[in-house]
Amino acid sequence: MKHGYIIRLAWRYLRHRSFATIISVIAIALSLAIVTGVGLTNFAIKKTAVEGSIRYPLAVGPGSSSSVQVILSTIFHVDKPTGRIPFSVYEELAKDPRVVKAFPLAVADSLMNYPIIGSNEEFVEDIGVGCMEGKIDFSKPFYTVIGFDVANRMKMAVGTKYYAAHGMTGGHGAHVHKEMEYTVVGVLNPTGGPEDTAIYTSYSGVWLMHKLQLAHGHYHHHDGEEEDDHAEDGHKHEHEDGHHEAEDDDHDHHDKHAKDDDDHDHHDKHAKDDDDHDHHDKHAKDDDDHDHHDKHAKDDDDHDHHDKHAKDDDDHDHHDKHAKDDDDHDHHDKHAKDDDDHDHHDKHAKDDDDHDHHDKHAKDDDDHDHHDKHAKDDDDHDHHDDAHAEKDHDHHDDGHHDDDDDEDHEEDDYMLLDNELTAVLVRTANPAFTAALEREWTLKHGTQGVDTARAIRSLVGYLNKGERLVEVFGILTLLVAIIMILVTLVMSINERRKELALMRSLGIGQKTIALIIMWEAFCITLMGAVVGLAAGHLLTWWGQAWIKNIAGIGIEPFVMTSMEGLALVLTLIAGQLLALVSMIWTYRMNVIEEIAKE
Amino acid sequence: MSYTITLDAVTKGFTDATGKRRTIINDLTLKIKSGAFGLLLGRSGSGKSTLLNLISGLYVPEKGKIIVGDTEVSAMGEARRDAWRSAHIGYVFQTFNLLSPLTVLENVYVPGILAGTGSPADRKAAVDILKRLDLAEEAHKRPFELSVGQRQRVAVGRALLKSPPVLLADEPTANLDAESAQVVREAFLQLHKQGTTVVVATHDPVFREIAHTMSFDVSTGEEVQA
Repeated sequence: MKHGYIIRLAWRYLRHRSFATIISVIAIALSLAIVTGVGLTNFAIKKTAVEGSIRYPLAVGPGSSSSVQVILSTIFHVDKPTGRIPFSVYEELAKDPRVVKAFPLAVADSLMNYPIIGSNEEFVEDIGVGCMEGKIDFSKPFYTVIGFDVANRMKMAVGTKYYAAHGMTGGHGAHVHKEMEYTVVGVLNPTGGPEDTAIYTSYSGVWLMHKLQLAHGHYHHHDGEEEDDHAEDGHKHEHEDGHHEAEDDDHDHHDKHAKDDDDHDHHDKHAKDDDDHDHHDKHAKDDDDHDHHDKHAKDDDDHDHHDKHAKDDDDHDHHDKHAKDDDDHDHHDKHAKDDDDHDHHDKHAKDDDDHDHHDKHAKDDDDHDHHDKHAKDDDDHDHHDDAHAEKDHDHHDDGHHDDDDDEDHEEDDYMLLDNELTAVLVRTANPAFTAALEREWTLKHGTQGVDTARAIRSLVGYLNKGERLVEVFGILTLLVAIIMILVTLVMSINERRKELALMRSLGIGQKTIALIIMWEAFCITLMGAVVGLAAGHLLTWWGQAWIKNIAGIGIEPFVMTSMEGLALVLTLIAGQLLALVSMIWTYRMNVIEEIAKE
Repeated sequence: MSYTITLDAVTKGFTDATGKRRTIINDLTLKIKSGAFGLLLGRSGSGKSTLLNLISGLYVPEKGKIIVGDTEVSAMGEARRDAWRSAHIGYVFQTFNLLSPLTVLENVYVPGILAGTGSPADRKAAVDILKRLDLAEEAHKRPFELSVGQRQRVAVGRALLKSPPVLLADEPTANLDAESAQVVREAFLQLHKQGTTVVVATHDPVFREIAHTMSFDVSTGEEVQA
């Protein structure tokens, strides 16, 4: 009975200084909310990953990307696919007796960040939830089946027609596939997983879309309309230029051009250096041209490149400068692209390394020796080419071929044309086959097999490290919150010295007074814990759509995680310690002296 | 039961902020008979409040003994003094008598519960007392919403509810309007008539007009004539 009044008075004191109380509660709640939110997200990531790896034990992706990247793009439907594999990979896998089922994936476009996954009807049927509206039907090229969240948030239904954006980022300045519109023919039931935020279509539709884009793009390019079409964004502009460049590298295009080079890598390089006639035409004119800088940038780069391989280094300083650059390749490739780019200087300004490089060349311009070299380069194409060919071979041997390819295109990973996929998901008959297939496909040229379960284990291991880190941060914020509360409590006790003295004079004992203070401390931590856990779950619930969108995982916001249990226990223990400290503080304070101060 | 208050050669001093020892009460002997209405007179700083705190057991004397009734207060430990005080002493200060987070009504009956002497049933009596003190309207207000006089009346109401054997009051009517001061004095007289030993440290001359009051000089302990 008396205790009820003690708690009541404690509560009144908390209300009495409500501002300090609210701040204290928020401080505790914040640290708990963070821990809860991260715990839930981690839990969901692991769950999605594990479920995905059970469903598709093997993924075969481009040799250039990491296993985690393959997992992210195939199972979570996030992150851009990094490279292509030929359609024959799928055909081969589908025929393999060890394979139960193989699914082709061609991912290159998106609608407002929702990835468009080119596959087949089987793959969508394999999700196993069926359509809540319409049906899974890829009988026409641009028929799409959309995930539950896509339908809800984009207000799309069966029959809705829409344009998609090229690439995975969407947004401002991305190329919009105005070539052809997609049609929604089905809406999937919710899965709670990454399928909810995905759009499915046929891979052949994806190929056709890009073929149309190329045809379309060319038209615009020659019309000089691309600036209108491709937005104010210089970056995107380059990107668009990149497309044209990419064509030169493209196998398909290659076929059309009927180049006699059997070596792809070699060809890729040639596409840059030699096949680009436009470029060479400019080259010829260059030395007296006001565009000199651009050309020099290019040529010197080539030259440097050449130097390196031909071991013909005239200019140490120059060479060193280049040696400092990340990767000659990259550098080279960029410049190759820049040649077509009237925005060249902007590009340079954006890129510190390049900028230096440019300055250097500005200096070199006055140097006739350099011009001589330059001339030599122009005249000495064969040599140059050989050097490159050699280099490419080196790279190939190093297994870096696909990196090359990747960087050549830079943002053209999305340019999928006939018979190109980004990955194949495979269900194997048993784990031994998974291991065998993983090995086989990794040994093959240009592809890698990914044991999804193992890749996910490494991903989860990594996440666990992150989780530990977050736990440490959570505990630190909790500690800060506790210290803050301790300070406000001690301050409030000090402010209340007179009142405490009055209580004593009214016959209220030390113990009772200490209990009141203890309850105040306890109530604050308890409220902080409750508010924090509730806020953590509610914020996760509120943000789950966003998390699903960026991370491809469906969070169950109202699951209790072990992390939050730990946080709760720690908070309550901390609350008790807090109460104890404030109790001791009250005890050792001689409030009676207050009465003497008259 | 007798509640005669006896101070026997009591000395009490404090160390001030500069570290100097200052003796407030020096070898004081004083006796207030049980059931008396005693007034402590003296200049400011002559030790009136200190004397009240010694009687209530909030302070312990350096020398001498303090006996209230048959209890030697100065010989008890702190916890026992707390318990004794809650059972026997009512206290009214000049200012700062109320617990700020509680309402007027709660200030009358809750401290008793927390001190272990009252019960929630006192609430009804507290309501009656507030009515008598003309504070019915203020029952659910908080102390900061009241005037100084009203606050003092609440403190008196708390003392009335407790109806302690000994009531100590430190300048209870200073800074009060005439009406509030009169309410306070009448409440004290009522307790006195119920047999409470009342000790008031005051400058208020009106107290001395109350019949049967005894005045004491704090510096000598002698009874002085009005």
